[in-house]
Amino acid sequence: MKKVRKMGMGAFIIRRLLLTIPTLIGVTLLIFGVTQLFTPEQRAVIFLRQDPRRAGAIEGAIAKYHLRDPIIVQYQMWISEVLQGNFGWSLTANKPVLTAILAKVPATVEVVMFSIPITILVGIFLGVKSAEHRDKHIDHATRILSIIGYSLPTFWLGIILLAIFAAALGWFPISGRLGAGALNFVTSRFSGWRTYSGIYTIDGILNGQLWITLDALHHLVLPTITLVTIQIALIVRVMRSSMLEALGKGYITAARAKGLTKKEVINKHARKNALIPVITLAGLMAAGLINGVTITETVYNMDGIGRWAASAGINIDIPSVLGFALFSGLIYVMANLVVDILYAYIDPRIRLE
Amino acid sequence: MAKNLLEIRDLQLKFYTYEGIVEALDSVDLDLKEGETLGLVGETGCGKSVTGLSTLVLVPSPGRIESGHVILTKEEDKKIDLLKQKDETLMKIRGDDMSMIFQDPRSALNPVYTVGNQIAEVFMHHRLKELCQKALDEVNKSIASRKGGILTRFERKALNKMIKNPKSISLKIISRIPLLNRYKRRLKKEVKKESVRMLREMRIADPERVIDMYPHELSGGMAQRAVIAMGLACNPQLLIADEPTTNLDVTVQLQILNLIRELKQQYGSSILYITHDMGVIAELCQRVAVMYAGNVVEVADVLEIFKNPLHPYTKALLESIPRPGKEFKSIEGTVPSLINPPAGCRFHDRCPNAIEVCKAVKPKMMEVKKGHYVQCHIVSK
Amino acid sequence: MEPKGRLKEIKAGITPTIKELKFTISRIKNSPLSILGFAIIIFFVIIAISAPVLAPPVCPDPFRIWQDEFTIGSARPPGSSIFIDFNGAQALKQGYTSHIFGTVEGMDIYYACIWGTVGAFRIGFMVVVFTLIIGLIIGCIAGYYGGVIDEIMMRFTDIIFAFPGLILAMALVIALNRPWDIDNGFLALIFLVPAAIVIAARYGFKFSTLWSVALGFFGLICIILFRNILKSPSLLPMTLNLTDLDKVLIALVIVGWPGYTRVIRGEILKVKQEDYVEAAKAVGCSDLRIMIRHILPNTIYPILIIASLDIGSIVLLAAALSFLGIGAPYGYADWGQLISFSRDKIYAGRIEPWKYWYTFIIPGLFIAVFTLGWNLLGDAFRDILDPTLRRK
Repeated sequence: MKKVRKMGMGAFIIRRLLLTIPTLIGVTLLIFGVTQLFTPEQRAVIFLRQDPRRAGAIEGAIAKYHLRDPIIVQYQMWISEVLQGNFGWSLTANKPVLTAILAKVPATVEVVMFSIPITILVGIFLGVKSAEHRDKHIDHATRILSIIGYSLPTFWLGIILLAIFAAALGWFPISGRLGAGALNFVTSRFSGWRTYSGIYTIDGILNGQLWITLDALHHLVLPTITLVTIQIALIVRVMRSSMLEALGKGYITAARAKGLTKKEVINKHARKNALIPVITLAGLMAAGLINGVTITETVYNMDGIGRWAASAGINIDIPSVLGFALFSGLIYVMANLVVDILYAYIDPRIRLE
Repeated sequence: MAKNLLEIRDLQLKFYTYEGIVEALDSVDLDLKEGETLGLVGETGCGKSVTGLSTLVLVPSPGRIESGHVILTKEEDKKIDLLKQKDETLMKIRGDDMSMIFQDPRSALNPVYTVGNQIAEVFMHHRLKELCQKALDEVNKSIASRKGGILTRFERKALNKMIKNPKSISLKIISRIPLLNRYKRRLKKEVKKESVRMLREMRIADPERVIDMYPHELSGGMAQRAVIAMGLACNPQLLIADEPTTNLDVTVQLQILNLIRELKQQYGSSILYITHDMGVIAELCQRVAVMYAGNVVEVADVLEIFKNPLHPYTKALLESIPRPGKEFKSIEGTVPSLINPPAGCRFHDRCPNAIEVCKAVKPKMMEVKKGHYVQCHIVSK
Repeated sequence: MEPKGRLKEIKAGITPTIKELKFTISRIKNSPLSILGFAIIIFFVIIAISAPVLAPPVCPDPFRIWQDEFTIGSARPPGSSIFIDFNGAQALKQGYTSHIFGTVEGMDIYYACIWGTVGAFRIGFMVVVFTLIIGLIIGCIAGYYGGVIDEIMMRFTDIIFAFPGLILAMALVIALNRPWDIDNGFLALIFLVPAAIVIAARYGFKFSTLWSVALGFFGLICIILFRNILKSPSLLPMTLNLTDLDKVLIALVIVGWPGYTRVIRGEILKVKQEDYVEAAKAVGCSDLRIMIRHILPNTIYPILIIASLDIGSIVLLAAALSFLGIGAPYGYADWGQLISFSRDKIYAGRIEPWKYWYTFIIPGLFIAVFTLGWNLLGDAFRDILDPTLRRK
């Protein structure tokens, strides 16, 4: 019987996967459109595989990639280069853009992989509790904290946390992903450290050097709090209002008439329905997460793609910014795909679409 | 004479809204005898739905039951006042001794769970021990015929534990561990069997298929049958039916009415049938209570009500039923606002025979003939 | 009709409106958070209006903060006096002789915060107004006409939505980094595209989704090709020199309009089914008239709510961009920029990190409270105006 239920899911997943292709194409078109606002010289840098400051590099690129030719040709050239992995040369990182991205992704993943579960679990929990005890103290407190939470600028929160907990109290380090000692250990050739994923918390365990893992976690606390606060505030709000809406529906009275306990009614019946708008929000928040990561990495000086993109922006490093834009577009489309699938899993009515 | 299953005495219900305090129910008195179908009829807004909800103590805020008694007679003539019970007791009674079916089946069913899941809830909540025992019998059969291994013996242990103490912590832990929680699957199988049986009794043609469907995949009639299945699952003494056919097509209405009639014979439950349709009353009920603006104004046997209505409102109501060849009559005026209800009889400003005392004093319910009660000054004279 | 009868009629017509209005006001009064929101906004409005009085500008451009070259690189605490020798002129012009909030990088924090408020209102309102207009137009057309038009526009919207705002804003700010020549192609884009859309809508083409998406992309490519052909010479010789802030504005508008479009389209889809729209069509009202007189008034409430919440998030986003260094030029009165200066102070002042508290606490408070005010206002609007929530 379970197969029958899931069959709607399979077709739905395939349909959604197919839909991402035109969206991805559209994303590339958008970025390509942005490149057309540049001069051919600026555009040449997007194609180079090496340092553009070498003599003749730019002229050569313009000729090779037909940068003065009609748009269709240019788009063709650009897409073929992109699909081969050539995103250009990053001035800020001094390497090809793709290499830079891949090198810096682990740092970002490390921050994000703790933030997402915390955001979801805490946000949903607080939202449910807030709706359950409507207009009582916990509700008022949660609402006030959440509205303050998403009025705060991320970077300000980061700085304040730094000032209080890192600089003043000294409980947490001020910047970076690892302390000096751990960093030496990880980068030296004689320590026997093998880099498996680039994520220090995981690699520490895999290498058997737990102190590295703990050090990395120690450095992660403040950035995670900075990232997570604003997301939680948003989720709590939406969860609370959708819970209240769900609790007003007919099936809640019917469930109570069946004799179910209040806990069952809230957790089983109301919550699943209330999750639906929250999941839609989660898809949008993937964008907010990328924004937040950029700022958090800058404030806390972590070597991830966010900070790299920000410095590329300041230094007008076009290929880097565009490469980052492509990458975030890709991530966002993937995130929305996951969200859509989750949505269909929870709400069977969607599977017919 | 049959005993009273349900006695509502002096029920007062108020809604506290911005515009004022709505006096929704004003000293409602009602008796429901064992085994009978009592119709509760009245126009929209007269308080019949909320009377049904009050019986289950499920009034939504901003409503509050101010005073009164709702007395249920359980087995061995034990009477309990539902309004004075704790939540745990009420939760045991709801769904088991008393249950309710609703007007809009699509909104009474949770769209994100299958029909089977929602019927199963009733069984899991109220018949857990019996179901565990049945599952246990299956397990024992397996063990006896040498088909089971260690895991099966573990299932037996788990099921025994569940019968003795379903809330134990060790069970909670075990139920999360993949291989060890196979006992749950057996339990679910038993529950599913019962749910399929229920759907079959609702005269649904292919219950195994319907069990796994979602509410939005069902037609109105099917959905309502599912809701009735939930209501009758534990064979309640009292079934409260809140306009279950109003939202359905006329042909489906007839089917559901017939179904309810048959099921009543089969299960022997008493029914409090809430409706605004006098035709349905004539079809289904033995006794009728007429409500107007938060009061019960007349109670009598169904034949008596139709032949010999005494209260002016009842008379007007029956006269306003459209009949071919007859001139269409309606009742003058509108229902009074219940925020500042008129003193005295609430019908007095629309009553063709009102006298002075009707404006000032609220009439008391009097037994004018045997089994025929009216709340009216003129009639009681 | 005699005057009295007419008066009665008018009264009868207005009474329910007045009743609802009274209810609205009582709800506002009963919700302390709404009052707080209103109060905060009014407070900031007063500051913004009286900025020339509160902080008289020294340089010709009021947004430029006068910088004391001798104290660049350091920060002085609140209460320190403005040197009479070198900044005497400044002190005399401004009428106050001590830095109320202190200085950072040689700039008076008080001055920056006051004029930052003006800047915040400016960018907030301008971005919201533009995104609203664009969103309204596109959302209305997409929602009302449906079919091909709807599909194309929604795909386009989704693609822009696929972008984290900060990144796109950064890319755009960089891209717009040179004087912008308005050429024929651009003019063609501005006028021909909307015209084409409306004409196509009027004649109601109905294709299946796949075809409409293909058509949409094809059309887009044609337009871009067309533009290239028309590249020279230009009909309207005009070169735009965009200031950095203008770039941020444009970037934020481009990033922000999809949000409004989706909501408005959703509302229009809801309202489109209503009977009174059918009735209006049957009577023969033109599409535009229906849209303006019947559909728009019903969509106002969600728009108001989103707009007030949006002003807050636009200001936050703009501040984040300034903090990162993209956007307002150096020395511009901008809250985000002030905080970016303070970052080094914290790292440096390890022993006494709170020594320079005024460099980030004060500007940050301005941002946070400003955003808080708009968020509270947006919430208040939602609770008060949303008809489904009113009576709870």
